Amino acid sequence: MAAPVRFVDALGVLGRHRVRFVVVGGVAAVLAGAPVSTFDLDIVHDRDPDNVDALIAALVELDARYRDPAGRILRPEASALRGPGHHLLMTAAGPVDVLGSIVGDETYASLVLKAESVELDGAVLQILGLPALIESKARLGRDKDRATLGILQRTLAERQRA
Amino acid sequence: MSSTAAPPSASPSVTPPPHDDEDDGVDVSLIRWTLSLTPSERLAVAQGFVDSVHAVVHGARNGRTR
Repeated sequence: MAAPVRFVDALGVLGRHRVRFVVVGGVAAVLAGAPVSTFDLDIVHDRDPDNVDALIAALVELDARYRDPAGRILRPEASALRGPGHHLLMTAAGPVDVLGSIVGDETYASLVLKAESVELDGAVLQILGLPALIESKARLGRDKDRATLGILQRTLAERQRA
Repeated sequence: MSSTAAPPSASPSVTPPPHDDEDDGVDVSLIRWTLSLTPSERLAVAQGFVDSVHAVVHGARNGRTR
């Protein structure tokens, strides 16, 4: 059976290990108030060595391994997490995509400047704000991005109107 | 009670409120509802969607294997 998706559990483990990251993608859109659905948690992490060590500890607790079509058990390693690549993982709390960078060369350092703080169960999370989410979806231009772009734009308009 | 009284669900006076979807088909009433929630509540809604899909998929699989 597939691992159950538990967004709060995954975020809680990352928070307990004091990992520095920005939530992007569907969960960021949900937290920002957009009525979209998602099945995975996407984060962009700070690639500094101390943060990668904290991230590895969190991923060990989450029993993270790559979503490998061949079914092999491949664990993420610190050396890879220090790079800009994407790590598409399955964890005990469901799919988690750990991204060294997104659209172009956007990294934690640049994204955190565009982030909004939200409080979740007493912890403060950094999520990519709606303007930056819209910009990234527009730049990516994939079918799945275009499908949600209108919802994000209207959500931002409603927030600004309120 | 009179036997000729109409049941409440058949009232002809109820008119659904207008909705202000624009040409893009985005449901603004849904956006206003999600914006009225706290971030924790929004995530709980998303979690509920995932749980529902999971239950349907695995319920169907269990049904096929019986």
